Amino acid sequence: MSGEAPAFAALQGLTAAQREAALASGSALVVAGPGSGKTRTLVARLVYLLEAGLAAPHELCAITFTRKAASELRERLQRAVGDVAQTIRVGTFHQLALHLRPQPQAVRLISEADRHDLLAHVLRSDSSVGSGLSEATLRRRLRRASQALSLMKGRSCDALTALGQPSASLPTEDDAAWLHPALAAYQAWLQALDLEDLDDLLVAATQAVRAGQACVHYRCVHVDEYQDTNGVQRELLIALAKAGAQIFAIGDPDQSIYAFRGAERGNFFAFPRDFAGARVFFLRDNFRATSTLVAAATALLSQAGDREAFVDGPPPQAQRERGEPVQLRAAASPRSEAIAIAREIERLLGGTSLTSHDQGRAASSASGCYGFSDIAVLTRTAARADDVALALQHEGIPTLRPRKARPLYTAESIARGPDERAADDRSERPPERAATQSPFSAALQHHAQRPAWRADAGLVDLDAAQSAERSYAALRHALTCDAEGEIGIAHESDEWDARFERVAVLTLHGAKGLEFPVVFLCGSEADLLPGRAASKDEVAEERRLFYVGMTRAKDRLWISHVGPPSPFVAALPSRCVQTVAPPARRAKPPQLKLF
Amino acid sequence: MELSCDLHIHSRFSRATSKDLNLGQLYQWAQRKGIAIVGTGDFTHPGWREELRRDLVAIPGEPGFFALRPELREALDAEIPRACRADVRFVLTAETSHIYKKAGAVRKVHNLVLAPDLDVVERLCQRLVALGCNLNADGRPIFGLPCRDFFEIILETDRRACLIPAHIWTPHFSLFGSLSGFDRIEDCFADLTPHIFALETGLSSDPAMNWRLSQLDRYTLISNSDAHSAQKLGRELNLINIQPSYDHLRAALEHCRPDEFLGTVEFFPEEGKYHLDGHRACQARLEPAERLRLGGKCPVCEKDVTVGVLSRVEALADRSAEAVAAGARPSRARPFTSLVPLPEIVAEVLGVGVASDRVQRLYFKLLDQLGSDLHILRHVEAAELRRAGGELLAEAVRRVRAGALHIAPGYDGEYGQIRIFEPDERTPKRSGRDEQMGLFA
Repeated sequence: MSGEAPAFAALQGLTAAQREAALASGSALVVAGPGSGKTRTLVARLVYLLEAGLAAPHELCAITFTRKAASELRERLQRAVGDVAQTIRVGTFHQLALHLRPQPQAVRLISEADRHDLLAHVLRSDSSVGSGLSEATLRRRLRRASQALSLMKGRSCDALTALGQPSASLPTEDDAAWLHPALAAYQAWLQALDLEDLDDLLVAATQAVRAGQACVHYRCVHVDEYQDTNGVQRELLIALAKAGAQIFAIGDPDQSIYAFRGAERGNFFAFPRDFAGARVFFLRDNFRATSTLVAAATALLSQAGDREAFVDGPPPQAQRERGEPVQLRAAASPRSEAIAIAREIERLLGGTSLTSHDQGRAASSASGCYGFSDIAVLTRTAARADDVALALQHEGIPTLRPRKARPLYTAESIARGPDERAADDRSERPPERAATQSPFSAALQHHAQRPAWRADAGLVDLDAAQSAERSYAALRHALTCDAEGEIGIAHESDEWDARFERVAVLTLHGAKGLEFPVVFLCGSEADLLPGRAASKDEVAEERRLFYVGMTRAKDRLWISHVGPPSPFVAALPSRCVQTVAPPARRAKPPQLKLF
Repeated sequence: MELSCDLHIHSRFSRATSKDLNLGQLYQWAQRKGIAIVGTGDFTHPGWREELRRDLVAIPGEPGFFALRPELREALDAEIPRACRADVRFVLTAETSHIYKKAGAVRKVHNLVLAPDLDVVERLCQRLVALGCNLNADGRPIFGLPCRDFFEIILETDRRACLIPAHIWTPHFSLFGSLSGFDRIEDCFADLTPHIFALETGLSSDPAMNWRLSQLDRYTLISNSDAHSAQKLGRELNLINIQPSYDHLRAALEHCRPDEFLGTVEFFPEEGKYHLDGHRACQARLEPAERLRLGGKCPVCEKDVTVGVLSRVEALADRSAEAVAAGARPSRARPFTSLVPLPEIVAEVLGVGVASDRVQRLYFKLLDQLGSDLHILRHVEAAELRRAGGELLAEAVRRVRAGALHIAPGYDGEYGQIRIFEPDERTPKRSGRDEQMGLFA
């Protein structure tokens, strides 16, 4: 196929496999391992379709997992095709869903706070409870209901309609007695108030496309990170395909780590059945990591033994030099682990102070080739990440610890973010809601007075809902709308400054899609990775999570643990690993016995 | 009025500093050393800033200059020899360390920042914190922020604040450092380069070495101690003649008028820690030509040697040392005096280590009888020196003033070794040592 293709600029510099994928006709699934040129292939595909005249810019659409990925894709398209890129729809599923609606301006979204209040109201007014819920129970049920609501609405378009029926299956039968009616009541309230929540957006869009009410002008729909789509997203794509669109999906089932949020890895394997005539392509060359790191990560996956035949395909091919072995280090405590990391960072930088030279932490003549922003420290839990970030800061190392994501639903919740003044200046105050006809309880009076946000101004793309952690920058971006009231990308704001280089301290989930020359996998302990009570599926997901962490590294990978190491560490072949003894002077005799 | 001025120092909140480095110590040692204006250092550190606010008071009529609170001064003054007592003015200063990648290489540059008042300091620090900087870990904070962008933040905060690249030749951490820096100031500060007006030459270089670069002609070359303990205050300093105020100080540094910026007091550059090339662990000290001959490798272990200041100046110079010696120099060239710290001279005279009690005793006796350290080194006549410290001291100071001494140059972090007397000169003198001792006892 590649032989017959005319010389399109779009395809220059691609490998044979990338080129073949980019030229696919009809629907296609591209299995793209870490560092295999996924984004590059995606961009080439889009540009090729334009250059070859196979689609007009407005007929193209690319769906990314995060806002950051969207802006990167937009930038790369801009470089490749200039301003034409601006007519290509690049965004998240929620943005697309909004645009598919016949009247996006009319969509009214409930704010995060109001969603919370409404759920609380519904739970409190549950007559079966009698005297009412204790605060603790209410809080627990709120969390539970909020999650269940999203999971259920994300599972399928029909979950919503099935809610009122006795056969509706809910996540846990124990909870069904209170959860089921609460969710039904919540949904009834939303309808009465003529509001939608974010999960409804996708459902409504899918229904609109199915009913032929959506304005589907997309001929080629591209989806990044397909392994992280949920049921509704899959249904939306199937509906779009039935309406005439080709689906080009790219992703890596080995990096599927969002099952807990409703991602269905099975979507990936179902792709050839879901989309008639779809072809599957494999991108297996790894251009990112040294061959030692590729071998180590591959060995981790083989440990599973029960991987789907589909995934097995050709093994990853390392394209880089051998490089350094993975450094494995046991630490006596999280604090000494952090200090060891700080010292290693000093070494990588060629010393951060004259003291580092005097104490031999940097070769006297070494000029480091890494800067702070070349380095990431990844942890399994957010709490551990917070601790490491603090410890590194205490050592004087500039660190970036992105704020934890609360689920962000609307501009309002974001406006309560770090800079309220800026938010107030920028946010468009929507017109006051007309008093509702429904009799609202006291708890909801307050809600009725609080304005709902017009969707076009209020909808932020759901990065935060999508990805477990968002950087402050993304929050700031989300705040700024362009003149048309659409979601736009703000320039670096004052409060967050990309000019600052710092060591990123992230959870493994938060590191997805990123790459760093140097990665420290911190806290890789037996009880954390996987967790003690993990089921078989959970172990598999945790292993993929560890795989995601390992494959973020380009040149050097450090794995450290306090206490016994994770069983995933044992999977790494000894030829790829070097065990680093802790410095002798730090080890005290009683501690030595432990090791 | 000639005012001696040391702007780059640290507090105990900086790493690797003396634990008792507080404002009282600085106040006392500034007097002993003969320094009229001393930087506070470390104003970015919240703990130090709190002490500055608590212990300093604005000097009326000298905006931007601060004095230690009178009630704190009394007890401290009692310990200062009368001959040394003088006003000490503090001015707000800090040093920042920048580690970042630019044009494919990691850059590590230190900058000195001067601020006109505490309000500016407060606003600057608030901005830095808002930007995610950690100011708590170290009195000299490390930022992953390029110098140019940091400078922009300073200028936006207050145009009167200034940034002076610190010890610009130090290999590991400076603007021109062989392992850390740039070849041109523009490469570091880009469009903001015109707002830079002064450079700190550091211990291992002197103004004459800097005159060899025409790219430095338009900068005022200043010198400071970068002291990490109060005793090292003023080992290099500036002499200025101004109405005491921050704005006048800044103007003197900016315009370098010959009647305002009078010149500097310097180390002999050979005494600095990074003058020559070499590898400290192997005790391999190399002249630039020798390093070139060895291909930059240590003759003992074959590792890369640390390229020192002299080599770096040679590499970037566009004037020969001979031309400079013959009088070629920029219009901003000011006179400078090269000196050896007085305690080191005393140690040489006594033939014992500089940290010994005997050196301390004689040193303080000299301050008692003759006045401040700087005054003794620069002005006290031979007869007086002889009377207070003996013939050998008078001769040692004469030789230091004349530059007639031998220095085994510093390299790769090792200070240069000063030798004022040849061994055969010392032997006969040693025979008279008991007699001298009698004088000091």
